Amino acid sequence: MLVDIIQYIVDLGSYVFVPILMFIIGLIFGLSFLKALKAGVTVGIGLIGVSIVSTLTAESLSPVIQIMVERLNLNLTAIDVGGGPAAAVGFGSSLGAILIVVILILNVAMVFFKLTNTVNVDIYNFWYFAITAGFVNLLTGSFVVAILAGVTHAVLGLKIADITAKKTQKIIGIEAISIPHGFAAMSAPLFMVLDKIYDFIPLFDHKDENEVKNEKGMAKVIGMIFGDPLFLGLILGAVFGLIAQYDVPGILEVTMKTAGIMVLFPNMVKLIVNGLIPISNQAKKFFATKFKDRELYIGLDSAVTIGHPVTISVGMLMIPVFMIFAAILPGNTTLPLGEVPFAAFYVCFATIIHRANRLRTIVSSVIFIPIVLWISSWAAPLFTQLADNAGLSFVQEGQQATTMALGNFGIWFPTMIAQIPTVGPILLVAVILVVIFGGKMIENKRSTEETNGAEKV
Amino acid sequence: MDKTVVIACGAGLATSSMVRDRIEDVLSENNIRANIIQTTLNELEGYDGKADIFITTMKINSDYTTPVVHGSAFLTGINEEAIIEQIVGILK
Repeated sequence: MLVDIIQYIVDLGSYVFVPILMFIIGLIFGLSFLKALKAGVTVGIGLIGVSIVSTLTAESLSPVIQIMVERLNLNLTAIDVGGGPAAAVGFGSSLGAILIVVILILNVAMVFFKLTNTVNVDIYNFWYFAITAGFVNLLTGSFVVAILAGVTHAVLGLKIADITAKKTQKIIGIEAISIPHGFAAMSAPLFMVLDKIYDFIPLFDHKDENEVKNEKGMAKVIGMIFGDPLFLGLILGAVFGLIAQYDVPGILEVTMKTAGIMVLFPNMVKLIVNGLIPISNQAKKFFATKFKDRELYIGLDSAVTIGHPVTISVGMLMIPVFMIFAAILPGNTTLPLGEVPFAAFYVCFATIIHRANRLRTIVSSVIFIPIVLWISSWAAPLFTQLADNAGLSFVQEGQQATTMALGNFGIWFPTMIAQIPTVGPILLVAVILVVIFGGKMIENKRSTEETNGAEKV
Repeated sequence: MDKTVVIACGAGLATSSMVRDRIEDVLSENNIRANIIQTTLNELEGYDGKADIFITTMKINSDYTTPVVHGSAFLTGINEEAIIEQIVGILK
């Protein structure tokens, strides 16, 4: 009976059932009727917006890229549509809405039992966890295992945020925050391991770097062009048209439309963000009033770390690195596009872990990028299917959609574990427990180290 | 005349939207009429000198002529009052 009702609602399509679910969640979190209604419908409008723009990619961008990669004899069959549209896919299934409730309840429980100090109120970025759950749902057909996999990703985020909180606060200069972000936090463990290795190599020593200045001259202009989706869209659109050997009107059309896609997608996604803000604010209020006497870290989007000069300059440096690796990396099918203006997000945690040591940050980023591309290529068929199910078709037949934002182990690892026959779900629970209690041990070890260090001084 | 407030974050999306939500309240409580523009850090340069205030979600080393306020307090809720005072002071 209940299953029938749920199935009936889901069959209404994502633009209908997602607003309904978000409206209900808004009410659960104590929003007034009208505020909850507005929040839910705003998310739905964002989904409609992303869907409308996605026809642009399917009809204009997708064909020109297909011709281009054939001419260049590349195997880049998966177009990076960007993190924003991927968020629409994440929230375009009932898994996204359910995970908001499940993860927040788990977060409250973990704070209550002192298993975390991070409160993840960055609801928009729960889309990462929803994608992990979506992949597992596709592969195993089990809703429960899917939720479990999404939770695994979220718990990894919370614990990595706890472990890196003090360092993040120090390097970024904002008090009482941590970054449980579904991508950025997932990049931290690799950088932590690399950091230990760098410690043995004199070349990587921390110098007294007083060169924390903003970029000047050419570097600044390049940053303004390649960091702006509008200009990057124009440039890439023109390049695609030229390589595909379109005629002049054809080149101009694809140039304009690529710029349009790059600018319109984030604007549509902004609606999804706006719809989720009231829920974030309610959650923040709840934690602030219920756990007054605790020193909690507000879990924020990695966007707050992007202002660091090392992150900005190394991010710019990584744009050509993305392109070169995409072309030469064996097994890569991802064509970097939508995430290119946001390259800084891919290096932001390296800056934090390496205490803004520029050389360490550069080397770590160059090691990290192939991993991003491999995982996003692995994710492409699953993501294309998931997007189709949500009524979002980004590409034409024979091509795939993906995004480099999917290129993180928080999506890949739980998905692989969940697929192990019979014991998959048990292993996921085991992973969650190991992460929670293992993370706690690392934190304790660090805080004793810090106290001992303080005594020596 | 209406003031121009530019709010910037890494992607001009999630965190700047959260700050915007609070800034709108602050401005209306203080009877300040303003156009609010949401943008990315890379695009701030284009508004330099034209906007009345930049509010960023992260610390930046700036040499802009437009005054810059660090608005992460609106994300964490810590020391919000001090930042509000600073913003109102610049815009009044």
